[in-house]
Amino acid sequence: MPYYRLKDLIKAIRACKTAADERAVIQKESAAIRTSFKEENNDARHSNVAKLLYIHMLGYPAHFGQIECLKLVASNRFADKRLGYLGIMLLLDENQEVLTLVTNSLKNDMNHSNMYIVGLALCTLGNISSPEMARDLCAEVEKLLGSSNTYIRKKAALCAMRIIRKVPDLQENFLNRAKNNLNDRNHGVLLTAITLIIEMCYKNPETVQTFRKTVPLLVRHLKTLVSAGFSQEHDVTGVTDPFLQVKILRLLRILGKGDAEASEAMNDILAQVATNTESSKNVGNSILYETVQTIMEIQSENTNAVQRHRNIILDCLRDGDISIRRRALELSFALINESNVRVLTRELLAFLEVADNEFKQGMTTKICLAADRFAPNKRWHIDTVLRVLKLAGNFVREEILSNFIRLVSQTTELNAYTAQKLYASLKSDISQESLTLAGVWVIGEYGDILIKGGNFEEEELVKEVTESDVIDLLESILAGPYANQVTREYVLTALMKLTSRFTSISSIQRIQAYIEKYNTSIEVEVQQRAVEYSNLFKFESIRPAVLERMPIPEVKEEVVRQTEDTGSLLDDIGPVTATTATPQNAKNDIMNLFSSGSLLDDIDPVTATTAAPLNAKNDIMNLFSPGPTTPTTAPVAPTQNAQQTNALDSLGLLGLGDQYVAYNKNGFKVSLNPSKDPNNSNILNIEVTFHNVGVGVTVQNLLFQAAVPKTQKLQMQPPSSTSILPGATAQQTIRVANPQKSNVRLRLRIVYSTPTGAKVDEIAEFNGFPQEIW
Amino acid sequence: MCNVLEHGEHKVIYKRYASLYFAAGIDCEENELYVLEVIHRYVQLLDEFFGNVCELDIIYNFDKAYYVLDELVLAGELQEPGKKSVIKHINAFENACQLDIVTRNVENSIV
Repeated sequence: MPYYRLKDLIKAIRACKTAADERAVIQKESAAIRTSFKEENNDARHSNVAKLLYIHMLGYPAHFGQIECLKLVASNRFADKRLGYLGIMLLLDENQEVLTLVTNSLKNDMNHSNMYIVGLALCTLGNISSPEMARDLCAEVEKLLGSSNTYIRKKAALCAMRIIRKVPDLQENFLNRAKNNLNDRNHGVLLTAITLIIEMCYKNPETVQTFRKTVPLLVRHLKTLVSAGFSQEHDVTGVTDPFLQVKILRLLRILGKGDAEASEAMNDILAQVATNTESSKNVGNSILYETVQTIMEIQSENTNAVQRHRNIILDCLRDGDISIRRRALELSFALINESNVRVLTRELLAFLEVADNEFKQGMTTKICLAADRFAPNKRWHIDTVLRVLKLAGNFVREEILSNFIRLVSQTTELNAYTAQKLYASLKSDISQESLTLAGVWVIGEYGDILIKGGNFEEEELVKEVTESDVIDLLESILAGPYANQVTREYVLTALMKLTSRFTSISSIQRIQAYIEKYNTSIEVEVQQRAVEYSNLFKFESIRPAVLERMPIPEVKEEVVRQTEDTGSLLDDIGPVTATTATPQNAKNDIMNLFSSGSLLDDIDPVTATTAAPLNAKNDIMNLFSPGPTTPTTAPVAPTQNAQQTNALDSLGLLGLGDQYVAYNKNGFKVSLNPSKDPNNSNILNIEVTFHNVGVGVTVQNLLFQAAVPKTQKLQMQPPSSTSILPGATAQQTIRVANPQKSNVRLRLRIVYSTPTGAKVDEIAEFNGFPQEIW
Repeated sequence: MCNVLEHGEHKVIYKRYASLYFAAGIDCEENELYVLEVIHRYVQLLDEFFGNVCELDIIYNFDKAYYVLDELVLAGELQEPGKKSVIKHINAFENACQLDIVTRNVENSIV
């Protein structure tokens, strides 16, 4: 039984419990509708088409209703026409030939006496017209665009927009009328006229010329909107007609681009909009978004004008929305000049502190470039680059670093100051690679000045730095968890230079002994340096001459290219993006282990992310040290460290400390053998031994993970073997950096499988180290 | 969840109202926050038209929901920024349709 009313059909469909039920109901009804259509029942047609449209919305075929819609449109009844046009818009699109049959109805209805019917026709044409229909009905639309009825003018403007989209050549017909509509007081007409003009300008750049003269008019409109008081009709939560404001801003953007005069005319209003708009709600933000985009695109060579917006842009740096922050950042860099460089750099440095890592690389380059170009004095320049290194040293490009070193050597009067500052920063933080490299180089070059002390204006008392303090610092860098091959090379060279800068014999001997340790380093470059330097000690006469101060390099032109954001910078340095994935995953793995609210926190996330840029350089280094790839459990452990530690180990570190049993289950025992590192009292070496005492079968795929409290840092070497035969053992060395001398607690995860198919995945805690050990 | 999703070369902007999601598809050039405002304006209009609109209202009167949309947006662009004006026209058209039906019935009955 067919459902006569739409409401009943909908009820019936919603009552169906299963999809099959629904299909059945709909099939039955479709058949009924088809039959009814064949009977040419005029009265029921409305209802049938309505039902058909509902069925179509649910996704079932409804093409047989297309002609019926045409018949509805041809009818005289308003309701029929309305539904008929809706049906056409839903069931047809410009690719269907049936659409051309509608053209005649459209033409007639556009001349209808009732404005709503005219509106219907314009709506249909505007939504789905094909190029042919556009051509046919262009004249009608043109006429309606000049109608005295605002309702019709609005719709005609948007319909014209569609026509131009489909047939760009027809643009000229609408130019004048569009321009006239700009003077209208009705917001709807104004809005649609601006939309039409925007489309014209997109399609045809010459039109932009024509409309540039309207900029003052648009500025006036915008001004009225911004400074008008509360308007009942157009208010949206406190903002007057945001829709119109956004459209005007968009058009101003198009007109102002590349034209100084137009840009000048709109600067004031842009500043006004940006400052007065409340950004607590989305409404305000949509306007601000458009404003910032406009400010960015208009003529910016005349930066004086844009300077007025500086404060707003700096505020935008702190906005909650990341797209706004990104755009504000780009704009800030463009704004820097001699007069505002200090203020802007201060803001940008503050932003660098909290910026996401993706921004940091681009930012460091641009800040240093700006500092290079606009620095008011050398001391400020050095301070700025120092601050950048401290905040984001791991994201600094090599060229920036070498520029900095060149700058330092050129500024001889500030050598003492720079050396002191770098020494102080290194004492507190050796995790930033570039900072370490710069600091080590400067300390090596100017170690004598550093020792001499002396003072510089204002500032606190110069701290007394002794030779052994400096050597201690360099040694701790070498032994620390952040040292990689490049760092080691730098430190060795710096130590060597210090032998001719320092005077006390004990220091020189200490340095000599330390360098000799690296004579057997696995890293070829490091070994070469160590051996050569050690040999140099035999040639006392020429040693001082060799290690003299470096000559000051000449001023070099700016070689650093201006690059876009992180994209191309990363291509330079290598596949960093790939390697960032793994350390992060490593971090997450360990994070997941200890999610059950434990006392022990996870590995400090900094170590995980700093590994990323470093790994890129190490890709080449890895050619020389093809050790076993470190398991993901050791985020900060490129293979070089493994070799270096073993070198130190061979000097007798494997002490006979006590064995502590951390885990003993199912015949698998894990014991820990701690010993203090002789070179660095903050570091505790732990030799982990895995005993396959009574498992009975081979232990395979051994995976050992560990975590330490947040104040400590952990470094893990690969195990000697991941397979342990019954009765055999395997070893793995881990090192814990414990600068705060707090209790060394470990949380361990032991994973292994056996040939019989058993899998073991256990977590254990160990807290039993005696106090003397750490 | 962010209101803006990227879908190939286009974007989908959506806003959630109770259990309903109103979504709009736009291209990359469009101001996303502006579209959010348009969506909100549409929902406000539905609310005004149906009087405290709920999901069932939209289901059983989907054609009217389309008529409201056609008064607000044409060819993908906003027609009328003023709420009152849109409501006025929608109601006027409704009345015109009703009047038309009544007139014809009267005419038919006379005939």
